[in-house]
Amino acid sequence: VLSYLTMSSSYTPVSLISRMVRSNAESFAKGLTLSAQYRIEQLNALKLLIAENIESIVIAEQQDMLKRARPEIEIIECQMVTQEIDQLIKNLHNYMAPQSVAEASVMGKGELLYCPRGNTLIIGPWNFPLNLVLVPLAGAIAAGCTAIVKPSEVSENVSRLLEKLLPLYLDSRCYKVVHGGVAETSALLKEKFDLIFFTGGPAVGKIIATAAAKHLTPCILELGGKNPVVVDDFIDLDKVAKTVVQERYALNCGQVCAAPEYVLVSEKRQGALIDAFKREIGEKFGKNPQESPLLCRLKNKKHWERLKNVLDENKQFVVYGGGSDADDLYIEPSIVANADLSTPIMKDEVFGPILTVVPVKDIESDAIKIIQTLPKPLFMAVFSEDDKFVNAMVTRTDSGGLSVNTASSHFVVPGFPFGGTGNSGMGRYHHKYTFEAFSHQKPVLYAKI
Amino acid sequence: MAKALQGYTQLSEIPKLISKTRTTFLSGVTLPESYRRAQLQQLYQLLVENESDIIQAIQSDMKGRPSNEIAVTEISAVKSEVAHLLNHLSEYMKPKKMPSSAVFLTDSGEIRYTPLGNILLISPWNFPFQLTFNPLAGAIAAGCTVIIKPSEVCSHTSQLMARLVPRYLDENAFAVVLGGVDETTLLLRNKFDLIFFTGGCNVGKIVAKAAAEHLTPCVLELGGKNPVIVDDDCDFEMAAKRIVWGRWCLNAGQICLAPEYVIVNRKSQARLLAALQTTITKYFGDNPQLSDQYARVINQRHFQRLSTVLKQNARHIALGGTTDARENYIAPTVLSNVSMDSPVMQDEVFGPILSIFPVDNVRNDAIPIIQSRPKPLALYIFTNDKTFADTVVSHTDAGGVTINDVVSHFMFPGFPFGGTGHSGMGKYHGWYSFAAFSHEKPVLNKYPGADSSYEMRMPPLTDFKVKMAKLFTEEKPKKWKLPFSVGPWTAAALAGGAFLLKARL
Repeated sequence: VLSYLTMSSSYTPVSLISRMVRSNAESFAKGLTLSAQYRIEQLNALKLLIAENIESIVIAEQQDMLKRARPEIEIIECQMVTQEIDQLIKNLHNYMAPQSVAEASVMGKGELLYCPRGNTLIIGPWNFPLNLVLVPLAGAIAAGCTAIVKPSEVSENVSRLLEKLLPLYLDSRCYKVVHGGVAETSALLKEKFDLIFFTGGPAVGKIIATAAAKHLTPCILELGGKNPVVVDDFIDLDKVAKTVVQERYALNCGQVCAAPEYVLVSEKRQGALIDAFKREIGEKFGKNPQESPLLCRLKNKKHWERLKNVLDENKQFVVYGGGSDADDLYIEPSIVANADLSTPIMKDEVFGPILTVVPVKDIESDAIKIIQTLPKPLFMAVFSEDDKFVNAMVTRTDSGGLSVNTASSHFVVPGFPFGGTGNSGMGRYHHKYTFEAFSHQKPVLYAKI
Repeated sequence: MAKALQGYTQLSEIPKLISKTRTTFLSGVTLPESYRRAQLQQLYQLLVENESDIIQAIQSDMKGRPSNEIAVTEISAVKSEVAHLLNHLSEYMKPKKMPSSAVFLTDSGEIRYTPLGNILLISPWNFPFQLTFNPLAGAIAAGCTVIIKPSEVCSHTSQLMARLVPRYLDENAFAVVLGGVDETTLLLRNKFDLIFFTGGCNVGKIVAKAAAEHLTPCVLELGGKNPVIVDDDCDFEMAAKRIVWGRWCLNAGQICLAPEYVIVNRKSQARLLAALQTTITKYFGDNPQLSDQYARVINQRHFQRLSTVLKQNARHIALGGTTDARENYIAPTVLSNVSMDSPVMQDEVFGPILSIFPVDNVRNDAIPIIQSRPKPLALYIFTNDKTFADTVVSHTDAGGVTINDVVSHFMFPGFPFGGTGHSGMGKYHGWYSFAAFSHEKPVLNKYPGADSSYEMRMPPLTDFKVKMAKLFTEEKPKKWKLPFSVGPWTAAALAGGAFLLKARL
């Protein structure tokens, strides 16, 4: 059971990749993945893959990410995936059925039919390595596509586990894993796919989009950005602190694309807001956060160094925290205050346990201006009980999604589409949107003879 | 010098125009329904008040194109789209409520439609008014601002657009840029929130690459070689009539939806040719060059291109084949016995030349042929056998499919229009136009004072909390199958109601 741990770290040979893509394309052309029965069979097999290997998954995840809480792995990496699969199985016949177009016409009968995109490529990130690869894969299977899955080599143990398990459960004529880094990904990107589903950062997102453009391949890009939180002049600051602290520090140590990055608040309330944050951090993680079981660690040395750098670059603005421990890959929950657009921390996505506070003169007009100036974020939170204020934020700015009076994103709500806009991505998925993501909705007209 | 004569926008002006429309968008002035309605009404007036000028301009660019055809496809069709958007604008703009699960009883969710922002709209020369103003109407309805770049190939039409748009629409929000390759290249270097491009695959790739640099989404309405399958079990005369209409009656075949090659049984090829010839003669007379129903190729460059196609495939010419360079005239032409390696099968013809691709058995051979080629914009099947049609539809992909006709799915009310794979990405028309230029943003509203349900997922994640989470959010496969689906609360209510009823009885 644990033998994979001792497997030598070998990537999929680049020379094999072309053949793997061609094999998938041939399987698709043969129509292997088209029947509902086949799709449900494969989806059930994927469920079994998770159900029968929970222990191995937990071990691999904790090896990849120190101190990652077991319930977090069980719920986000396993249960959420299984839920998605169940949803797809339950609704598959509905999704696959032709949809009659309501308007009658003398021309004949019209139908909209979901057709699989074809041979797809799924590239995943390291922060939720199983969920962000298996949920898209489930969508690909449900839609009748074939898929090459390229999990992140940074989450090496999970990636190797997947490479070993997938062929044991799924039809390897149609679903394959490529384990590898830059060279292997580049080789994959040279091939023609019918869809590329990528989750990761905007910089690599651009590389993917450029490679896809050569073949006119559509992409679903789930990227990131600097997610803003807007706090109006009247809302209870403790309420704000509660969910912002949870999302910025507790979940995966802030290494989540939907976590709040910077908070916009009136100058006159900045002090009180920071106090509320400090109180909440103290309550949650105790006197010494490094000992708290609720705080996990940074992904690896590289990311720890990146965040240490952020702390150093913004040293004069750090008002809380700032501690770090290189051997433990630990960064203390920190707050940077009095920031503006020129502050170094505002340049890139932090993706770690450092929150920025940006004070402004007029919360409504200045917040709108700042958010409009920066690239469109994945997620935005607005704290206010004033409907007009909320409406102004919703209509004058854009983001992948928006929450009101919580920093918790919508993406866990069943039925909500999850995706970015502008720099934070294109396309969306979850539940029926995952099926749609891997499908082409084709209009078919049966003309009157 | 030549550029100024053609009225091209100065390169130095272009960034200023982009900045102007972008600033207008960020100011929020295009957001209210009243603004969008007013602009759409102005657009409608533009079409009503300038119909004859528009027809004249299009005919100056496309000689021989019948006025009546232009009146239907370039004026009436656009007025119809604008009217549709006006009639449905409130409905389309309305937020859509999302269902919520048990854990989130205390919340509400909805989808809000946010305009994508500042749009670049690039349109082609073949149906210039339709392919510019239809997308423009969608962008206006969605609340976007637009830089319009019509084709320099139809110069009279584009210059007319440049004169009319500022007269009717808000100059700060909608601007026309005239130009060629240099101007388009400069436009593409700038950042937009969406690029809407209609044209050929090659330029489509250039647009996609430029957009990728800014992570800008695109709607690409491209083309390809649209196949027609003619099954033996069909009405050959009817099929011939409709194929002729699709390939030659609309703009001498210069339309992305026209049938390009016909897959037919070898033994039926002659019969099909005869039926095509009869119909061509019926519609265009013995000498189509004299008919007022038959258009010309748009310009010398395309005429040369198509003449080359004829030369390269000379031994396949079965019908037509005559040309007249003085008029850019190419007769309705049919090539027979075409095969996969025939030169004509390389690129989209986009002209009045149809290919016949005979096979041994249509039922076996059509699907692999179509699968081996890039995905087309349209697929057409003539057959009385619905099972065969459905098999083709489920084993191949195309932007859209019409069975027993050609082109029609383009106009079918409620249908999206767009390609797939090499024939494009994205779609529009009606509701889909509004959606193409909008971002469907999910908004989660948490009601105040409902913290306890949130405590359920805050750390520490105790076993009890995990148990509760599974109870409330984990879906389980049903043990029985009902003909309808009932949520847990509805079931509880029904059960409670049934119990009360029983108690009363």
